[in-house]
Amino acid sequence: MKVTKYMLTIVFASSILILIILFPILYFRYYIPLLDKIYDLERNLLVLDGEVNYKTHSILFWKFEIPYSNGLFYRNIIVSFYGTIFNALNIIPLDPGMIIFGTSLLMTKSFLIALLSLALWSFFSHYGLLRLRNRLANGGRGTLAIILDLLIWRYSVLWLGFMVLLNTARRKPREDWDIRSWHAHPLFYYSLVFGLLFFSLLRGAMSVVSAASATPPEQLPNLEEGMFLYAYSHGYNFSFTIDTAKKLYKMHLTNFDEYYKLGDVVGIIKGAIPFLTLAYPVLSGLFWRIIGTAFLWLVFLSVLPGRKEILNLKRYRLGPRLAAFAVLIQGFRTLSLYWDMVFSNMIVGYGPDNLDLAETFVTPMWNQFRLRINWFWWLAAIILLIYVALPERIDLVIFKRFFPFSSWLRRRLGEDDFKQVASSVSETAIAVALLILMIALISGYTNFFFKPNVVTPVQEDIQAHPQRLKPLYDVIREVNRFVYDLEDVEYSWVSTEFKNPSKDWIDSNGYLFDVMRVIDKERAYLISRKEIGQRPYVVIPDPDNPYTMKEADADFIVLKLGGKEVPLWVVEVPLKHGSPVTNDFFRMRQYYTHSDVGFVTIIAGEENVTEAIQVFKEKRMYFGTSRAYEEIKWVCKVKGEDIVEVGNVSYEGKGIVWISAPKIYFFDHRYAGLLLDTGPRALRKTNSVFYWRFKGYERKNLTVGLILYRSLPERFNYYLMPLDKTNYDEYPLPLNDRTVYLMWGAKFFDIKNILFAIEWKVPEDVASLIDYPEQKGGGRLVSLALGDIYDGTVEIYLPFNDFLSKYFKAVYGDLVNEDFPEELKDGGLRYPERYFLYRQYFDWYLHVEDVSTFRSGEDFFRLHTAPEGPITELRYVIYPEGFVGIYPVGVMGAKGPNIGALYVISNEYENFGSVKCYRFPIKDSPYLFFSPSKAKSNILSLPEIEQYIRLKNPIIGQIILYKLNGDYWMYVLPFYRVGAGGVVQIVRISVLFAHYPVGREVEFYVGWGESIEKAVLAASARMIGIEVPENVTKVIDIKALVEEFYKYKEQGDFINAWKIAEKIMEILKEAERIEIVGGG
Amino acid sequence: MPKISRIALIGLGILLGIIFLISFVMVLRNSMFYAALMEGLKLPEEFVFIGTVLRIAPEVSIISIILIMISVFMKAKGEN
Repeated sequence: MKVTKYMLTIVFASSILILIILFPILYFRYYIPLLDKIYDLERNLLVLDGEVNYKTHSILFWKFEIPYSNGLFYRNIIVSFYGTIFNALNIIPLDPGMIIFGTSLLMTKSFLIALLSLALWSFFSHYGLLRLRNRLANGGRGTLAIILDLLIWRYSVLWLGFMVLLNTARRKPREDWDIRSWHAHPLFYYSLVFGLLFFSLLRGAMSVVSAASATPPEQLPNLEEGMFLYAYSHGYNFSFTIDTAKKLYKMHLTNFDEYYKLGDVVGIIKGAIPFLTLAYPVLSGLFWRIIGTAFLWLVFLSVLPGRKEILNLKRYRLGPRLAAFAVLIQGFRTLSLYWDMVFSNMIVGYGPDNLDLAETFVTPMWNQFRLRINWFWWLAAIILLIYVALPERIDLVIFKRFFPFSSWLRRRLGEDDFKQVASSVSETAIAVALLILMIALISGYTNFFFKPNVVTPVQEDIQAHPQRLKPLYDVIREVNRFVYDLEDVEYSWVSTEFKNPSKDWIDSNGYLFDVMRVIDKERAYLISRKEIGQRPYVVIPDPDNPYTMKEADADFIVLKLGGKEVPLWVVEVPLKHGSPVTNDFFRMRQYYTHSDVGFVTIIAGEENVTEAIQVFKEKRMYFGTSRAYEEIKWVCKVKGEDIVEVGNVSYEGKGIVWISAPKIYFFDHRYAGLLLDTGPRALRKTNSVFYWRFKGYERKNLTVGLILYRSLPERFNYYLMPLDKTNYDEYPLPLNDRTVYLMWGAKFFDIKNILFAIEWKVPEDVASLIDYPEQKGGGRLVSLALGDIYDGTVEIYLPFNDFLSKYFKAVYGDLVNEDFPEELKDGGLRYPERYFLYRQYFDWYLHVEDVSTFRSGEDFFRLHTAPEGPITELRYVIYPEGFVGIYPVGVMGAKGPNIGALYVISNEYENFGSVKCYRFPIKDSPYLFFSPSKAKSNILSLPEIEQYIRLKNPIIGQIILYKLNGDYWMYVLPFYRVGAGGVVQIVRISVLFAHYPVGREVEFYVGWGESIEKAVLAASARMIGIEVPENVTKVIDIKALVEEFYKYKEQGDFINAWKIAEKIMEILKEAERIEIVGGG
Repeated sequence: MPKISRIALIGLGILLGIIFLISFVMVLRNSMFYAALMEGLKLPEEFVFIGTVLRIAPEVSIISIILIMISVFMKAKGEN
């Protein structure tokens, strides 16, 4: 039998088709059941409530049962599948056949009709268009033929190889080498495309399955793309229309004729942000891939000469229209490069002053080249452009003149070949020269023409009328306030009119004094230490040992207990983390599955904390948040043996996995699922605890029950995978009889496509504070989760309503709660610290409303610098507004050590997350306000306090700024002592009113005493208008003397000044001798 | 090719060239202008970059004009 081309096509295509038919069998027979099994395992381990159901599907003659579930973890797998499918689209080039197939499948939802329309198109293109194309090409109409090539679109390298082989076999080696003969037979081509598509899906499915069986949640692939496709197909409105696109297009800088007429653009940009951040990054990759693939072919087809042209040695030139079209398409690709090139260097700060070749164009351009691989496209476009445009005669003239060996070459090559070579060499040389010339020309032109005519007048104009920048600044400010979640920040200036405090005032603040945070984190640890005692399996936090401080955590929360708001310090007592290196470890600790202490609680306002109270009813902590829970997977039961755990209890919760003896050797928790039924097929890591723990037990035929995935944040991430894994700010809470950890989940989004959005370079000292993924930028708080410490169940809530939360709700909304937990509405909520610090950092700059102030930079906030370093944590306290978090900052323009502003975040349910920024005056005010570090040094420099510290050596606590009723701001600094039996006692409390009269920095209103009331009374006594408390023996007002001293000093009368100084010194010496009780 | 149409084509090419030149100058001018404004704002160094334009830019028109112009000239040259 004679082998024909047609026969081979049939054989090849049918083998690919058979593979395609086999694919679903492979896929659904093996991978879906595996997925199902792993899901089942995950459901068991993660204690998910979702039910597995089966849905029957049929495609042509295939019938499948696909498992599905309403569980959150399963939803993540589905989302990941969506993403895999979305990415599989990448391999489809811009092919009319595939588009026809896809469109008819979507329109009719019938696989048969879609297949039919594809067959119809194949027939038409093969027997109609291809023949027409060949006729045109033979008739010398190459340009039109190439356009038809694009329509037919069935190039295949495989096909070319196949043809070469076939012709060799048929002893007909004169194969048509023209690239245009790469048109494959439709049957061949489409079976190949479908094969590729299906196998890329298979690959995606495999990676999803293997990722699902492993622990680290970030292993599920393609979540971003999947979320986009899922949300889109489930009705999420990106609110992006052609109209929005038009407006966006129109708004930018070519319409920027007058800089004071920017127009109303903020609304348009804000409206487009969901699209620009969630959809555009996903879509643009796919879009460019398809366009890029298609037009890469076009370039090849256009540039390479055809067979006949080679034979005739005729110089090949493109049809100009097509060449123009090709370059236009390349131009699309270069646009972003061009814009980046033009703008990046100007805006980043080189500015027009340095607009010269080296700095403005070459360096940034090179950076762009380095960053993106676009340079190839860019260069290709230019060379192609020049190639098309260059007249042949010019090439030859240049070549003859500058290359003397041309005559030798001509003799060597012959006239025709020489022309061919000469023109291509000279073209390249000229292309390079022109490129350099273009760069030089543009930069030179901009320097010599625009600088005097545009840049300088604008600069002068701005110098004279800086307010003209207002619209531009407003747009930048408003857009970024939206991006960085700052829109609801309220600003208010603190009052500087002080009435003289009275005793009533002290009484009216009594409730605040009761709940003041006079115990700080480290003292809370000290107290808890005594309560915990010496238990070997728990971490005893030690303030001097940073390792244990990391393991344990102390949180300040406010709970409603017995109808009354109670501020509490909660110190968590986690399991000890350690590496299993000695036998002793196992002997000593093998049954310590949990911490039975749970938490130690201390009431915050107590003056003398002598005993800790317990508010947590559930104290058995099998699941937690410390590192130990991530790493220690523990056995809780052994069948046939009675195991008594710590506290004589036994775990009765869900989520136990039973593993029998032979498999224990190979046990790695990540592959437990694969081990259960199929044997040790995933023998990757065997360094697990269990290998050692149960070695030697095989004869006993042991079956052990394990609890796995003990870290609650890890579980949270398992449920809601697309969240960014930053800080969860978790803290424990009692909920009825349960104890849960509350965890917060934030999501950050890509800002690089948002117009006027700022990319930041966060300074190093701040970066450690705010936990901010720089490559992303804008963010939103999306979710909260309650994780049970006993059985590890995690409940997810999506209580917010911004565009990002809605996006999450479109994907996960049907499986989660969409409001705050009812139990937390009257106490227990606390805004996440790290996320709030992230938000307020961007407000340091964006709070400035006035453009002139912005330009001066004086009103930017900054970290407070103090000898002991900047304040690195948000402090949770109770203000007249309720339970809040506070963070004080300085101001650039402040002359002295003054506080600039105080950020206050509300933790109350009614206005949860609303931010107030209290501004403190730094000039033009009768009073200024001390910064925390200055306040602390002021208090400590008071002679009697100095003396007290010298004699008694107390522990100095945290200084915290309190807002009191009556517009007073007061610093509170407590002193402690660790007494007998480890009792931590508050021995003194000092207070300092934050304000001081301008120009009299030495005069401050400080007081101290054994209780807060005494201290406040003493401090008040420093201000005029309050009666002197009885227990102060003598009050001498040295204000007049000090004023007199300064007066003499200013006059230059040093003799009198010295006399006054001596008087003051005498009084101070006397003050050291007399006993001071209340202050003064 | 008749002489009259060749002249017409050259004229068209020149016209398009002028349009191209003007729009190119306008874009450069605008960008310089914008850069001057941004410089006027005196941004702090923490502001690394302010994204200004969507990736689809009006240069599409400029590039298409330059290419159409070239194609017109080529046509006038009568090479194809």
